[in-house]
Amino acid sequence: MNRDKILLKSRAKQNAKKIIIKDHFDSVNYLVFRVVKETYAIENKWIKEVVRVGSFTTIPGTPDFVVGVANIRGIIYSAVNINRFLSSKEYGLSELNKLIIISNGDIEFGIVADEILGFSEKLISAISDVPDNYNSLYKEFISGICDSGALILNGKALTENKKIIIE
Amino acid sequence: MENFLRLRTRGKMIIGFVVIVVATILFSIISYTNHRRMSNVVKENSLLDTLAYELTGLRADENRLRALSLEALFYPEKLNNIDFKQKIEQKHIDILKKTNGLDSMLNAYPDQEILMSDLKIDVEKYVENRKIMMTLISEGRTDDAKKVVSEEQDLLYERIREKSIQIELNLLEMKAKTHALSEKAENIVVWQLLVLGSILVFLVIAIAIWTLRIVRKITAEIKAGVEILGNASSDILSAVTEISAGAAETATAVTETTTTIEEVRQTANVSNQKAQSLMESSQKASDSADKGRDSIKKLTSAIQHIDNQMHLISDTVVKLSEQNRTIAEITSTVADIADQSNLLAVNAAIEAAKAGEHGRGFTIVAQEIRSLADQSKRATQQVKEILNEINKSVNSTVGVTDQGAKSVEEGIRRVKESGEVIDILADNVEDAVEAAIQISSSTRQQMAGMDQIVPAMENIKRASEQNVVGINHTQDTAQKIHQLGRNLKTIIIKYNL
Repeated sequence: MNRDKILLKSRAKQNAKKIIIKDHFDSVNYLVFRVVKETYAIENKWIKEVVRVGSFTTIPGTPDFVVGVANIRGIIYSAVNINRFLSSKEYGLSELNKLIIISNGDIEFGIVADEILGFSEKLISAISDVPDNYNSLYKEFISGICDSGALILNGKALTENKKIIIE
Repeated sequence: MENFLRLRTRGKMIIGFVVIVVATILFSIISYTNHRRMSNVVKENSLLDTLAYELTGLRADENRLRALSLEALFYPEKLNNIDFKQKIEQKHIDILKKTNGLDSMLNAYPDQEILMSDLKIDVEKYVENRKIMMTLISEGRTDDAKKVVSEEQDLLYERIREKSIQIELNLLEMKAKTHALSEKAENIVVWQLLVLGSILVFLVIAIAIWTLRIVRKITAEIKAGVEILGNASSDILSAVTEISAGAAETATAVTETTTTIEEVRQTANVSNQKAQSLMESSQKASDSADKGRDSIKKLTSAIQHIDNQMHLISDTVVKLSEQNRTIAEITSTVADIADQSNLLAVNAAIEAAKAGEHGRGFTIVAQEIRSLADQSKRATQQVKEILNEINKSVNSTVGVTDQGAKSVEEGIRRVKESGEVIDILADNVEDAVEAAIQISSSTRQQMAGMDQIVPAMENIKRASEQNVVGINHTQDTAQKIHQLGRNLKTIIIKYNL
């Protein structure tokens, strides 16, 4: 009951805020993709390129979210299943033949995806916060939830956090 | 002797009796002969006696006549007396009669007859002279009469007397001889009779003893036989009674059998009719089987045609499926290209975004390319769906075709089976026709046999009825035999044989 009141109170506060019409620069361009059933979005600036990969070479001794490695034009990229990394349940069949290469200029790796759904230009105001009951362990990798239901990945955390970067 | 022993009892008895009869006949013949001989002797004796008597009588008559003539000579007046005359006349007749009688009686003795003939002449002469003398006396000539007497009559008288005595003596002598002979013969006869009688008696006794022995033997055997006859007749009687009952039962059974045969005959008639109708039905069935065989042939060719068509359809569907697969491959290639185009567009957009404000126009181009790629992808998706549908249809068609082919194969198999079944049916029907014909003919034969059996049964019935009658007769006869046996037994007991 108390929690509901707090939620209702925060919503009321949110609605009571003055609506600020943001200009063109306040919008961010996202790449939306699908892994099995989950839809994810990531800011364009973190993406190096999107490639099709026929097969991955599995590496023994790696965590289960690491699918393997792939050679893309002479560069070896490790491929990560973001679903497994975020401990999301996997249902249904998947191709996972597309690799989205994430880069911060230093560290580069790929996220496997079933389908590239397209680009989405979202206003920052249209992005909701991650619910409080979300597992705090992975909360830092999610920067918000789109109105279409896509989880917005935090590119900075992905390229820098030690949980995903294996030495 | 051996041959004699080998003869039958009857023959022996006949021989014995023949011996007795022969002996008796012999005895009778001998007795008769002796009797005849004796009677001849007696007859001769009596004849001789008669002759002697007659001769004596002759002499007496002669004497009487001499006396009467002498009386007349002495007393001629007596001649007037008629009685006296008649007496003399009578004596004359008597003398002549006796002489003639003696003459005829002495035929058997020729020697005496010669004497008798002389005597007869003398007597006749004497009688004649007597008559002359009587006449002379009546005339009164007494002297002449005396002269006749003394000259002739006395001589004649003596001669007659002598001769008669002579004859008599002869006869007596003969009689004595005969007597001696007859006595001798009598002795012989007595001896003969004694011997023959003894032999006869001995024979009769021997045969009687022998016959008695045989009779005793026969009686003993008859006794045993009568016993056996009594028992056997009892047995026969009971057996005949049983047979009579059996014959009566047989007659009843024959009647029942006749009825049954009549029923069987009717049943056979019904069977014959049924066999006829069965034969006709079988014929029809045979025709139907032939028609069925033709139909099966046509059906087989039709199904073969369907099978060929089904094979064609199957081949066509397989080709269609392959072509479909080719289209799917092409479509997936197109989809792949669209996918890669999409990725390229995405990369171009990313690169354009990196270029910042200068890449804005390129971003739009990239977006357009992306949307085209998306359209291509959707179109390929639609084609893929359509192809999937087609594939499903083709697959189901393939399945249906397979099923159809299988059904057709099954149909062919069934039709073949039906053909075989119809062939078997036709064979069976033919067999049935033959069997029906055989049944019909055998039933006809059966009926003919039944027709023969019925009169035969009638004959049997008649015969059994006659048997019953005959057995009744036999029973009566057996009863009589039984009675006879008992009677014989009674007789044997009664006469203590």
